Amino acid sequence: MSSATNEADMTRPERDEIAGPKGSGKDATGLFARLMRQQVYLYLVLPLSVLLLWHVTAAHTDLFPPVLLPTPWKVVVSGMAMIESGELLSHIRISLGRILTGMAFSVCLALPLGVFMGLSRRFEKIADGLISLIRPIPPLAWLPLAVLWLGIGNATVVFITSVAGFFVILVNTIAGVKGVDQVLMRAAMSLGAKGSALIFRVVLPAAIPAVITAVRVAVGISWMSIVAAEFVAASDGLGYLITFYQDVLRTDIVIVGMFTIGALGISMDVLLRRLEHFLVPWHEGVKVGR
Amino acid sequence: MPSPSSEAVHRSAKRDIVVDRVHKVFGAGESATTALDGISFQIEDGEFISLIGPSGCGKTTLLYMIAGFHTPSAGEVLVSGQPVTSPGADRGMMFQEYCLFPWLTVQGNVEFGLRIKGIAKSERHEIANSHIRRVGLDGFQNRYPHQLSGGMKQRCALARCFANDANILLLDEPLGAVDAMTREELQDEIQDIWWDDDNRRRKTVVNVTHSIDESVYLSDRIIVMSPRPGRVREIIEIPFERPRRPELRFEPEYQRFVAYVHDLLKSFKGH
Repeated sequence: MSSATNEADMTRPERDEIAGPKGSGKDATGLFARLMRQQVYLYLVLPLSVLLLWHVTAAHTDLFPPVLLPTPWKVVVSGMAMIESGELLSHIRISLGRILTGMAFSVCLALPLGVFMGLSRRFEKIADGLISLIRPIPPLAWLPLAVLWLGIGNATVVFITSVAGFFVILVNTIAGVKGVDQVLMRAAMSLGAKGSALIFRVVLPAAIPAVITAVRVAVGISWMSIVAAEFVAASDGLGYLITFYQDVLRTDIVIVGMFTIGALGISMDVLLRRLEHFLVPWHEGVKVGR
Repeated sequence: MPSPSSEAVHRSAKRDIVVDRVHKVFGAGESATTALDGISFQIEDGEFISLIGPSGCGKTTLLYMIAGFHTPSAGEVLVSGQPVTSPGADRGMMFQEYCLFPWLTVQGNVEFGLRIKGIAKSERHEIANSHIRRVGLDGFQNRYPHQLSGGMKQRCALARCFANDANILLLDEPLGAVDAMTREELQDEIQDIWWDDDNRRRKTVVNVTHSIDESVYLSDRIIVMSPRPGRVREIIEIPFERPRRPELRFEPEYQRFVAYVHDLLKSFKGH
């Protein structure tokens, strides 16, 4: 991006904001797009500075030997080569598959359990003791046992990512179910709802935003734990890729792997936000307040 | 426990709601507070009643007992001759807070009760739409509550309540939070829907309010309550013809009633 376009991006929205009527609906999309462009510009300032600093340090100083700190360009070239050879994509596919399978397991287990625990105080008391005991154990502390039980491979990695996501989803589902506005419950009862109708038409819809937020957090935690899990218990996936190339001192490829994980993390978060917007279009308004 | 003679009164027709020597104590031991102390009154079929009194007089607690959200510590609340044990679709409720379901559109909110009753989609649509039109929300069927103004939210709540066609309507200060102009409009709408729905029996309304004007304007009878503990102080009959129109507010006779209720409420301050 040249400095000329940067400047244009920076000044144009300001001018238009003064000229255009802000409140009218027709201009909203145009204004929104411009605001987005302005924000994207702001988002890029810091990464570009870091990139520059990195480049100067790697290429023009002797602070680090090249084998420990490759130039950004070298990373890009290695990345392109790995995309071309298909190596990167196959690792992505494997890790992504594990994350999604792990999430599916933790949602399928934590969601119903959380709903039951949120609805029944007795059931919550029965389950809470065990869960409070297990919850503080970090997902990675399960690795040694998981390897012994499930061996090296998919099962162990999926197990670790499930554990990582499980408790976040469980705790937030319980909170979401318990946090249902009592006035809404009363309104529903006065309209004739009781029993399962109350649960399916009031409690669950009201808890959906909390669950979706929890899934987003859970995905983040899963990405954090998958690297170590694949390092110990797999011979493929992005975590394995990073640790394998560390052994052979290919720091450029290590950094490619790190960026890939970061990019996938962001992409999944964006997708989940979209999904949230689609599933609970009303939630944004609730957060902002009336 | 009601005596056999009062039992006979309860079971007779026309007495839609009977509140019989109701006590309500919150808490236990030393921290126990008596919210309601021996409340008794009867509401006839089709009456419009307002419960008014200073905060702490237990008017909302009483309304919630009729609704089935609270149970009396002693005494009995009967609706259509049956003791109230739980909330039900026969007693529609409007709340002070905007309590629309935020995940449902205006249409979805108004259809909520009909859906529970298992009414077929096309019929549900028709009923909901006629009530949405009636409260002036036509064209807003697909909006979500957060996209509506405060007055529109209460219009939607009103439509939801009436669409369910409960015989009894319990209003917990639904107009307390809307602006003055909208409040008067909605008062007229509530009165109109209650009054000239001519192909059916009129509904019975119990309206909890802080507004003296609203209670005089809308009610057949005002039940004035005094606080700590909540007691019925006086029941005032309001004789004005129906349907009442806003000009009524300028009549000296109307203002005499307003002044009377005002002085009555003011007299509790000394206690």
